[in-house]
Amino acid sequence: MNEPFVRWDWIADHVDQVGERLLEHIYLTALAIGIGFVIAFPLALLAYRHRRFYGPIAGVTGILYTIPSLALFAVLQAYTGLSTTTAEIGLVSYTLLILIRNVVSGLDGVPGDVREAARGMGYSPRQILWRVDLPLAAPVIAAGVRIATVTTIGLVTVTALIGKGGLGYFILLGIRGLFPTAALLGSVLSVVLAVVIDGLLIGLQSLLTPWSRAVTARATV
Amino acid sequence: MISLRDVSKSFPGTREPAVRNLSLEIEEGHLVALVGPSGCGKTTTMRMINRLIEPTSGAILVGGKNVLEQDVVQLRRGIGYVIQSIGLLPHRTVRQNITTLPWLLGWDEARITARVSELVEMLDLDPDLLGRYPSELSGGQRQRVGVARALAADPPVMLMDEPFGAVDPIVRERLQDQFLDLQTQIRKTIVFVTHDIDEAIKMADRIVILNAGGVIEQYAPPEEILESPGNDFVKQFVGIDRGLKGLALKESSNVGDVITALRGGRL
Repeated sequence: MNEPFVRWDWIADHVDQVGERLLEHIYLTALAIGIGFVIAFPLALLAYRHRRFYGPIAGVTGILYTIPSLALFAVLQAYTGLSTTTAEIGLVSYTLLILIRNVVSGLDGVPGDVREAARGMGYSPRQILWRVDLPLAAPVIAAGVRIATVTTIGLVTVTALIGKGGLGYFILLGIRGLFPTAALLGSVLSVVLAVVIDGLLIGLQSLLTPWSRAVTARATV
Repeated sequence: MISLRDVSKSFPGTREPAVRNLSLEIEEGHLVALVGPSGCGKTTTMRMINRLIEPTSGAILVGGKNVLEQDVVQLRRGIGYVIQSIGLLPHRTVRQNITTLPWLLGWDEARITARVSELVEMLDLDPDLLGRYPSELSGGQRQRVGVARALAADPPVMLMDEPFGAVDPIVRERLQDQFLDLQTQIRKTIVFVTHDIDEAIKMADRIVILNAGGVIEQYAPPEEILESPGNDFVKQFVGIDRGLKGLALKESSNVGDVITALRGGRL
């Protein structure tokens, strides 16, 4: 075989397409996380306030989470076709369990004495939620967003089967055409994207929660 | 200033009420300590005053108004509150913690800044601490910030639940002395919960000795509790060294008094 394993010239010829697919990948991921959070957040608050709802909510989202993605997209496309809607229904479903669980456990982790002091000082229940509970739960919620984002970036490649897929397009191209260059390109870029976005989210979280960076006391009385 | 009338509290699922038919009058400007063994209802009693616990029956008046008829959030904003673990907001700086209540009450920035300087001076806080987060403070500093926060909006009434309980004995003593000093200037009406009779004797104008179920065994100034304990429970609770405690309390005490006391077999 004279043909090299990776055809750099092919990649060079397809830079524009790579850019397009990369943007599509980011777009599909961001949309899924955004919609997922909008659905997960109120459900998590409901589960946190009224524990009896937590079981059913976790149960249903847990079942969604376990459905194999290939099967889900195959079934969904019979109803919603080869569309972004089909892709997003699947992607959003997979974010819910992670996001809901992290919002609830973040709220559970707020120290009782802090909430008690806030109540005793005259914070209204709404002020306790927005000014005490959510800021203190933020690191755990942010961790959930990170896990959901990285998971979604991986899953987006599967939506190549329904004509979307972002960088997954190259993976599929590579598999169908027995062309390793394209499959590798898609896989490597997808992993790099996940790592870069995870790093950006860590930075953002650190920026938004300056108190968690504060060094522990060396001061004396 | 604070008046509890026939107050009872039963928690669901318990047979005996935590507090039963408790009545208590607290004068303006007094620091009253609630003391007793665990389970005596002292914290429950205190927490009913700002309605962190709702009484099952009875009436509680603060400044002549029944707290049960007031908006609970507004009520709490008018009463200073300090708990043992302090509960500073970990995501807010010391300054933001101290100014929580003035900010909730909508004070303007100039007034808040002026109040912060007053509080820093009153509690002998290092102004450099204002920009730090609670996790960067020592135990004693945290405690003083907690007191500053409770005093921020200058409430006439304060509730303090073991406010100096979480620090080591040396720091505790210093905080107690400092707070007593401050109290002679600001003359707040204070309900002070402690399990430590020595702390109560040192801090209080009057002491309430509570027994299980919120039963008041004695309500009297510290000297009186030491010199004439109302019954065996009080005698036992105050301890066998009460003669010595009594002497330590009297400012006039000198060596001669101690010797006289020793000869009289009172120690």
